[in-house]
Amino acid sequence: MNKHSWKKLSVLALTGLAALSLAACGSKSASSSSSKTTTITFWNGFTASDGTNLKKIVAEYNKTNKDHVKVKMDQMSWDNFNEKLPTAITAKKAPDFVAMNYGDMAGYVHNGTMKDMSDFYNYKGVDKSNFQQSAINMGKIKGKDYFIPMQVQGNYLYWNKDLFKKAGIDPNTKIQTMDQYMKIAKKIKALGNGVQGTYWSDFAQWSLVYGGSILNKAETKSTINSAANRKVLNQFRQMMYVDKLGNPSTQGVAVDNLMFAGKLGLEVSGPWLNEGMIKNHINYGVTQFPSLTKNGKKQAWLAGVGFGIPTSTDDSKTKAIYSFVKYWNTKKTSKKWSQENKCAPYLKDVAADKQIKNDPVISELAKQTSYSKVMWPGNVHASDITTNVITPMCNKVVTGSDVNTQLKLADQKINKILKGDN
Amino acid sequence: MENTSRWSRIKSYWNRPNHVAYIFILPSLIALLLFAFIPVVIGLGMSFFNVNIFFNGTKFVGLQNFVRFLSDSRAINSIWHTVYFTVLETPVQVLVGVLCAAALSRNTRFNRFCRSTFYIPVVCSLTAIGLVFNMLLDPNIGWFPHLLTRIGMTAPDFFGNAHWAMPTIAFLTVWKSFGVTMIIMLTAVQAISPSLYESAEMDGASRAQQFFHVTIPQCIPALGFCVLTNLTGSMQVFDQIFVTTGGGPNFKTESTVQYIYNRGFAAPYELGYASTVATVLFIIIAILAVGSNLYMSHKEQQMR
Repeated sequence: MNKHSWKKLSVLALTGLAALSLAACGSKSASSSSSKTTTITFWNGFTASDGTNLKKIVAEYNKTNKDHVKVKMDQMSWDNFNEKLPTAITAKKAPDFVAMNYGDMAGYVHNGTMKDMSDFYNYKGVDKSNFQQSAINMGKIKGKDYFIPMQVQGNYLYWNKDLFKKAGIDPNTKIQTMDQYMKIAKKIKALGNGVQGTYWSDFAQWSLVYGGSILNKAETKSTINSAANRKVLNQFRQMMYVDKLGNPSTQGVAVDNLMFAGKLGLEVSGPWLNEGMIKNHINYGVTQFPSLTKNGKKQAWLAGVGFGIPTSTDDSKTKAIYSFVKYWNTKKTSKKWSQENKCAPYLKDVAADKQIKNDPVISELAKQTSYSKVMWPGNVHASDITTNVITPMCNKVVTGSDVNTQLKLADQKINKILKGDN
Repeated sequence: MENTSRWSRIKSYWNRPNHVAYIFILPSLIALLLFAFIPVVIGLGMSFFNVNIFFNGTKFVGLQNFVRFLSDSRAINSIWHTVYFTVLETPVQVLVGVLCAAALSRNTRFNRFCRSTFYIPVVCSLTAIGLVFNMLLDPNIGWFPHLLTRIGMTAPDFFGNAHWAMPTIAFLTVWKSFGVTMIIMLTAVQAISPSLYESAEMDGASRAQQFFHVTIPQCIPALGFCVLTNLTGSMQVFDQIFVTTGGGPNFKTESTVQYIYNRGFAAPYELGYASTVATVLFIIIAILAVGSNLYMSHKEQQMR
């Protein structure tokens, strides 16, 4: 082939390429102009089997909704979510809406990065009276609704029925009091062979049942250094350091794993534990968090996950987001989510449903939701206090530190955080 | 005509060996400027501000963050933990690397196999290694504690015990990284003239004497490089701690970089204060790096 032919061939190839590109552009613009579909991006931290269930619900919504909305979902671990979202918001690359843990929400609202969603309850087809008030309260900050419920959860008491049997305890015993709790944990630990009795958990919940508090009513001052909280910490110390009912260094997922391995008698944990128990064929029971005495008033904290909209989201997408959030809060979807993930319902019609009432796990969890209340709603320091004061304090106590010293230290630290000069 | 002569003048200017070198280092220089120098300067500037990750309510506070650092026991402790880790890890890693390099310097098939084997952990992800060690040493389900129990010993809680956690992390790091030191030192050892060993042998020097009086002195520049890079790397330890202990138990293994991360990228997202701690760490590392560099240069001078 001579030089001239090469030139000709190159021109032909370039022309062909240009024509193809133009055709592609044309078809793209044609498709976007003909379609009225609003695509909304959605981030959340559901990655286990709940993530798979969520995917199914989103796919079903995308297929059936008549509002021409398409939800494009990105699922990541909660840790990853909490790392990515702040920087995405700052860089104005945040998703159109998110599902986040209510404890983290206040920080975002305080920094003006979340939209007020109060008008969702006026959206066509949404019945506010069908929501349990405690669930609505989770997302209320300074009288505005920044957070629409997606899931509610508390800390419940799980036990291994097979280990109960081995220890000579009736496997259907629903622990009612602290004394009973400690006695059973000791009996199970005595089984040996690597079996652990129980683990410390959720200081705030224990504090509540012992009649203590962490902050005063106005949430302006620490009240942690109290006799009730001393009792809680002394119990943790007795449990872990003196009686060695569990290994103090084992925490979080590692404790759950022990439960899934059939090596732990009692654990206080959230509804997510159900999935692992079922998957690992553990013969287990679950009940409400024990109260202090036999006839003690039942008290529990309520936590959860909810939908929020970053301020960077264009207002034109609000309707589309509300369409999905409304779909989520219909009886059909909410019931499906409760049944598949063993979560307590927060919609009154779901709670009244026969199948839900007959489910032994969900009905038990639902009982606790009925009297639970939200801890420090909208308090911007909640996460800081829990992560950087309460958990380290408990860790020190269960490894043998003096309870009084730790309470005093925690008191000082919390007051410093509340003053904003931590 | 004039253009051509100007072009050729430029070409000949940049073709000179002492000028063309700048062109070769330009890409690295640009990368260094963009990804190291500018962020360091910005970080330094941010340490004088109260600024969160959302860049809301940014306020100049002067030296207030530095004063806060001095009274922040967790920050000071994180510096001590980092220094403790460095003291545990750097000497052991350099020593193991040097010994392996000396032992495997001959090009036999067995030595080549050992070199490749020892280098495998270097190419593995630190996160994956951390997870594997976590599982192996888990007090409840770990293989190693199980083995110790089988032979009648009580296994310590490697990552959960305050005394054991940091040495265990240091061990993991040495195991993962000594291959790099070994390869660098191997190159240095193999570059030593065989005549030096022959003369030492003729003078009746033992293998140990040859190692201390020929190998080590001849490797001082490479050794200096290894010490310097290990030292600065250890002072920035993060991944392995994040994966294995998360800074626990009771913050006893929380390194400075992890504390910076916890302050800046977790609630309450205090980027300004995190930058202050980063600036302090930067100064400490700079002092250590310059100090060790000066010492090694002095040793090199003595060698000549």
